[in-house]
Amino acid sequence: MAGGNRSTLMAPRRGGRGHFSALATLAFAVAALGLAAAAGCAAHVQKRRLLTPDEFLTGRLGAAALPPATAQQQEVGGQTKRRPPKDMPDFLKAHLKDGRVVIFSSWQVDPSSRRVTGQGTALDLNRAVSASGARSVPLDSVALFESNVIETSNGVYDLAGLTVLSAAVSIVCILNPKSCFGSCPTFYLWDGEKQSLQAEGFSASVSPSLEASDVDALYRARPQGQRLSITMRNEALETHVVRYVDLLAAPRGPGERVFATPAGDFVATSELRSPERCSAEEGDCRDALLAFDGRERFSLADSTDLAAREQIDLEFAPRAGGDWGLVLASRQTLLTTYLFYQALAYMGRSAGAWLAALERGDASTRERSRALGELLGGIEVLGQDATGEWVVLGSTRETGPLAADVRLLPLPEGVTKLRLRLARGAWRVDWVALARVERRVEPLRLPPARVLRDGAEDPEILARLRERSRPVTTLPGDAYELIYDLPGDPAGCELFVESRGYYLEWMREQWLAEENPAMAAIMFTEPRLALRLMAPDFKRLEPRMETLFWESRYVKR
Amino acid sequence: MSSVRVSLAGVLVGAALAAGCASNSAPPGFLLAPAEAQKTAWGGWITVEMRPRTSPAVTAPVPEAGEDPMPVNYWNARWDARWKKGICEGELIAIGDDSVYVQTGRGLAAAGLADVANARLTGYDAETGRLSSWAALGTLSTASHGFFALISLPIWVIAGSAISASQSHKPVVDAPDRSWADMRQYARFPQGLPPGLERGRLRGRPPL
Repeated sequence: MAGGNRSTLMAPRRGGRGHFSALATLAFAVAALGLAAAAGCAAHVQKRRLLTPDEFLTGRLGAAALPPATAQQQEVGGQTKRRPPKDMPDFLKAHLKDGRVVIFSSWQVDPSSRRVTGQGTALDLNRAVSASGARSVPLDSVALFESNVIETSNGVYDLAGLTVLSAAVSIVCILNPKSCFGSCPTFYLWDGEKQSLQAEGFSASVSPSLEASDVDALYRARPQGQRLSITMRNEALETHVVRYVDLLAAPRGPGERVFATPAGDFVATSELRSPERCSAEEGDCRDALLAFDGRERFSLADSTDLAAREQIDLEFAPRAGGDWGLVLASRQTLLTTYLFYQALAYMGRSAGAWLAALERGDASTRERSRALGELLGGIEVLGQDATGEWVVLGSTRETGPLAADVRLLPLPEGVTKLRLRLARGAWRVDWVALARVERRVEPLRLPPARVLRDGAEDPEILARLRERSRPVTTLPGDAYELIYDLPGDPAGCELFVESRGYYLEWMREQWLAEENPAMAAIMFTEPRLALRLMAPDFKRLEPRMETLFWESRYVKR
Repeated sequence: MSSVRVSLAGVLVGAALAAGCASNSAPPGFLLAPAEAQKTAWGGWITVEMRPRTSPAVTAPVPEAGEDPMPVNYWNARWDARWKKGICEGELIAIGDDSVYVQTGRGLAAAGLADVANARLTGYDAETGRLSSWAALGTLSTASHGFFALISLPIWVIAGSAISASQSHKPVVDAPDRSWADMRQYARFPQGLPPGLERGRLRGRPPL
């Protein structure tokens, strides 16, 4: 299964139990948060102030004595009710010198007669109601005025912010439970500015029987001194079984770069040439393909057939003699990820049996398991021969949507017009160039010299990675720093990482609810039909797939 | 540190923060929510711990005609038990220049400020339970976060506990950490005992 280790971005099946279950869980989470927020919004704090009559008279409380011309008005039940401004208290308490208190619900102050009048309730010393209605209190009888402003607690705002964030996570994880970041081992290296994701290991090895080696170029690695540090992470809901992670150091001369070929060779090149023209169905796409800079050319999948092809035409200036090759930096889109997880979902509770059958099966069984990926294919490179016909010169296919890999495809002499043929919406192409091939080189294989976990030496893991017979098993969030001793001048070698192993995807409860043995069977027996049937659902998710995928990466901090 | 440990540490930190919530011994229902408290003129609930070998002076209520000579004060029925520990508690009536007045189950107690070891006044119901419930439900909602719950759950626990603890302290005034003057605003008589007050005529707040 090509590209199997990516997060899936599948739409819940319409009317399926999975969809219902997801919505029910979402409803619960949102309802819980909503109820909590509604209850919590009633949490208040009280700001109480005591004022002497003189302070009251000269202060804002006394000045805002609700003369009709300035009072805020509020329509209540067809009647106009005067309300104080929001920062004013709803009630004013006049604590009289004799211990009684008058609580005004509205009040006016007459400075000339020094009286407060309004609607209120008079309470005696034991706070029993002695009178209510219109009250008038001389200021001289008042010991203190008391005001209370009721405000919503700051804690409400803090929890509201947390609730919004939490609800967002709930929605993302429930409505699209398979959108969480998926990966086989990811490798992070220093690129001169930061630790960046530069490679991913054995992406296509989704079961023990598919254990394989994978070589990835560390084209943007910038070693600091004689040692190279690679951080290997498990950032997905997967179990990774890593047999080894070796560094390959290929010698190169000044100005040279070394590339791996699809055949597994390593060639040193001396000259890189950019294409003069690049065109696809959207028009000129040369800008996106001029450099290995993260600006990628990609398209959207076909809405009726996920295997439908597109092409990119490349034209280079005529070149002198010698051997040349096409350098291609690319990675997969999330289409293969979608297909892999959809397959697991369709298998449902039988996924274990399916995978066990794959383990027990012969080579042809394993071949059938790859059929879907084969239909999607890699990036075919075609050249125009002397008669004007387009002939296939080879292809390159690096599984995985995380890190772009760089490969060189040797070209026959004299070909200047090239064409890339690829499944629509399946590939992101970052860079194309012609390179003059100087010679084949043999890289030096370097096992890790040290392994650190949480900053501490881990000799057990180091021993396992070096002896290879006892693979290292990692779980989500695990991270190891692998340190290699470089031979000689770092500038004199091109670096690659070779990893070997396999990984096991974790089943999710929501996937089980989408079990559909018939569709699972179609995916394996009629893959071409499956790619047509699955196209509409994929298209619904495609626009936001990449964003969701990267935002949902699981990294242990 | 593994994610599980991080989560566990978060829960423990949250528990520690929750333990930092302000406590009070007010009987259930005595403290009013802010919106209600502004409509009444009762004092807040105060607990006064006396220094050794000191005690407040108590003025027993003088029964009115037809009144039980020793009316039950529902709000501080535990007063007798507390008395033995040198603690008196009840509604804060007033704070004078040298005394704090507390309406207890036995009448109006006047404790010399110099004899008070410490005191805690709670002016109103902080409604901490609402925020705690919110935080608890928020914590439960992280069940939908999958592995992200390893991060989001401790965040909810820590933030919820800290916010609840902070809210619980809002209506609380402790002496001697803060001045007695700060407590006055939550007294029944913030201006002090009214002149000529017959202390025996004063009654505690009846239950709602």
